[in-house]
Amino acid sequence: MKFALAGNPNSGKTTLFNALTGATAHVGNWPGVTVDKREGSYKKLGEKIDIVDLPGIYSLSPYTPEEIVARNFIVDEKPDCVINIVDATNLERNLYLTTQLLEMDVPVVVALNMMDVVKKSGNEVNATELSKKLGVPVVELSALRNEGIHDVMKKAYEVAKENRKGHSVLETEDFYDLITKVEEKFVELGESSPLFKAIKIVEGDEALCAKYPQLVELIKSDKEKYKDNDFGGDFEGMVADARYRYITANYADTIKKIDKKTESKSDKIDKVMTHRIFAIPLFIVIMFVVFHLVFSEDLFFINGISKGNAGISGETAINVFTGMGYDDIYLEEMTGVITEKYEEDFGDEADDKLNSAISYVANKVNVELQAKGEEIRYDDIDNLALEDMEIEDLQELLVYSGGDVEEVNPVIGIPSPGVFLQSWMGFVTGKLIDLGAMISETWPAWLSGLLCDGLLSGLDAIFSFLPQILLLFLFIAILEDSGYMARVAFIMDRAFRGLGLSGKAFIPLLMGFGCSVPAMMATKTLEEEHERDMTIRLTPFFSCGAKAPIWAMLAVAVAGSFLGDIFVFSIYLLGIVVAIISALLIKAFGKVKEVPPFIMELPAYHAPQFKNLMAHLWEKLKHFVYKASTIITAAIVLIWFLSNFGWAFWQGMVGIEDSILASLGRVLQYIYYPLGFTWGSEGWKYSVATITGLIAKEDVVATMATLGITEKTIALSNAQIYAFASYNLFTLPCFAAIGAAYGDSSKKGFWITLLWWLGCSYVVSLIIFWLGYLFEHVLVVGIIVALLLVATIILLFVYTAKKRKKVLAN
Amino acid sequence: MKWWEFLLMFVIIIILLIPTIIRFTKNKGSKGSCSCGCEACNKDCPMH
Repeated sequence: MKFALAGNPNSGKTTLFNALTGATAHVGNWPGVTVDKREGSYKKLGEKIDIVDLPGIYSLSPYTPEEIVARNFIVDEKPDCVINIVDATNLERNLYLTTQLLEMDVPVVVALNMMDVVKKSGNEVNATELSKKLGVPVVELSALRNEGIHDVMKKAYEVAKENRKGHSVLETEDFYDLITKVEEKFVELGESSPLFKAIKIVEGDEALCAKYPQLVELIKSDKEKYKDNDFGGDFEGMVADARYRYITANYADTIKKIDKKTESKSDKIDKVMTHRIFAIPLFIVIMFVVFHLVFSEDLFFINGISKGNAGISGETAINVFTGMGYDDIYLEEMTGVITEKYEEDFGDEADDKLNSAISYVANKVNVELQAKGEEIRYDDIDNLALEDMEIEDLQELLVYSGGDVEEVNPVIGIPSPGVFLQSWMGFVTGKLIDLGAMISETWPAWLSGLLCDGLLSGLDAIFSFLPQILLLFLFIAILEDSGYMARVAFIMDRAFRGLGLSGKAFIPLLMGFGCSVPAMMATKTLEEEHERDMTIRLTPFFSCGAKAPIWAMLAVAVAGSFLGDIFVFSIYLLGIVVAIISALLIKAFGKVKEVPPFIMELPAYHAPQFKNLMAHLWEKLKHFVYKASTIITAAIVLIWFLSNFGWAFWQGMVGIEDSILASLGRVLQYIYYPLGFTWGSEGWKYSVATITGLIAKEDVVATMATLGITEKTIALSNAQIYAFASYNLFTLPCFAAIGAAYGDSSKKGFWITLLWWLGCSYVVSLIIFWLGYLFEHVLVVGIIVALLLVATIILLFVYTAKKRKKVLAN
Repeated sequence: MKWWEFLLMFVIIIILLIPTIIRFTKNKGSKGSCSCGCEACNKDCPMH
């Protein structure tokens, strides 16, 4: 048996589908999450029942792709029963679809969902009375709380065994004889659901009218009689009006509403969240808080305060949180850096070399002080330790040893939950690498290299960021599930309209923060081809989960790593800004077309469901582990081989500089040379990492680790790091996403999209690097160039707005 | 490296590549979790 779930958008079909089938299909608290039908099975009735989750629809007219999918399924594939999910909190509007489903020759069960919300608000819906009026069973349900689910299935199973003839609520209308006339013809033709089809012909449904022109002709003269009525002979309007009149007149007594004059909780929250002026800044603040909680090493901004930036005494702030003063912490960091440097540079001789360096600097300081006629600073130079020296002398010692004082940047903040989790995970995976090294100590070099430098290092690099990324997705899932993200689409509509996109396009783009592939597929809901192409083009700019390990790694490497959260936040914002500028450019130089209006029902806010959130995270985790065990492992092994063997690989292992990968990487290095991040002897490694990102974006980090670059050993300036990040953000996404883009774009649009991604990544990265370079070296010129850039973008805005006005005026 | 070490190395590498090879040659009609690496369901998967 096959049952179909049909209902309005966001009425809870997918939640019911998941509860029935045990699936973990993506549930979002916004309309339009399900674009295509989805199948699963229910096995608790003794017989296996196939369940089909149809996309949310308001009617059975063939206007939107979702309506077409749902209608074709019910008409052509004839399910044994249609379970019509009705949002009981919005009964009147939801019943509009029900009245159409009743016209089909298919058993129908109405499932009154969200009954828990109805009861909680003190309202009542009389299911028995409603069932009598509709002529089909009505069952109360709360899909979210798993209440009444089995009852719905039992009832559906019962009615599925019966043959049901469609009936209409339009029977009392004066134009019903037209419907009867066409219905008889359909019966003669042996068509299924003749009543439904007859009503559609009378309504002037394009698809059916084209198929049965003789039936259109049959009622043409009868229709003429209505051309002077209030609807000007528009039968679609007349039918819709008749349905609503019937619903209002007949169902009012099945609902008992407590007359509440006060605003609902959602309305109150929306007064702030969707405020004309504050909505977008609020969205930015909320996103910043999320990134701060996930990526900040300085949760309470102690670092900032300690340097006097906030005007509060740094000493006090640090004392409160750490019990130490800033100077003490700096001293500790400085001695650590010096000791580490000597150990790295001199190995066993480190202590001797360090002691002689201490003596040299201490002597020099004493001599200089004596020359000035002051007292000497160090009495017992032979027993002098680093900790006993003054900060300025330690700085001199570091410079004397070939180090850089700028690198001493103690992070003294309390880590955010994300960083805390990451350091623990890093600790665990680090121990696994140590264990691997211990086990493979006596193995041949190639085998221990494959295990430790290849597999373990590569997997460690991505797995150590896993908890942080799961935390990020937990926050995004909370925002989605609570209903806030639907508001974001709504508040973005006005801004998007100026860019040739509607707020509806923002939903696939938001999904892009998870994975570009389903996001691109969700563009099916957009009616205009140019809007679909444009949305697909912009989707990868909304940084997906697979790119998150790259940002997490670079966040640690950004100079002054307490800026990690700001770095990651700025990358996500940069993606949105470049998406907007891309849309502006395409609009400025392409044809301007107006997009259809965006109408969306804002779902009520509700507390995120723990089960939903965990299902979200579980899916992410499964996906991550699955990917790591397949495509990422494969890439790591290949990269390890290519980086440890030369072209004459039969001659055995070679140094990384003479490897196959190095020679290939050096060619690529020159292509990326203007972008800055491939400068220097290690530059080729970054170019190789960028290319392996095409397989899966996590491979960027895994490749770097296999080539010996970790978050602690990245030797790039901030400008280079930004250029590298932006190139990876905007360039071609992974192959799976390119496949999705090919499937859902127009042919011409797809090729333009590929070129756009390649061009955009190169140009944006180029601008960012040189701007950063100027900021680092010639600040004034950097500021002038930045201002010129901003001015160009503003001019672009003005130009496209004028162009749009002209088109609208015409 | 001796010849048998090369042989062993290639065998190990091939074993590590097998899950990926299987993933791309898997029966397209099969149900279950998505196998293209994306998060779309099997039916919609662009790699199928």
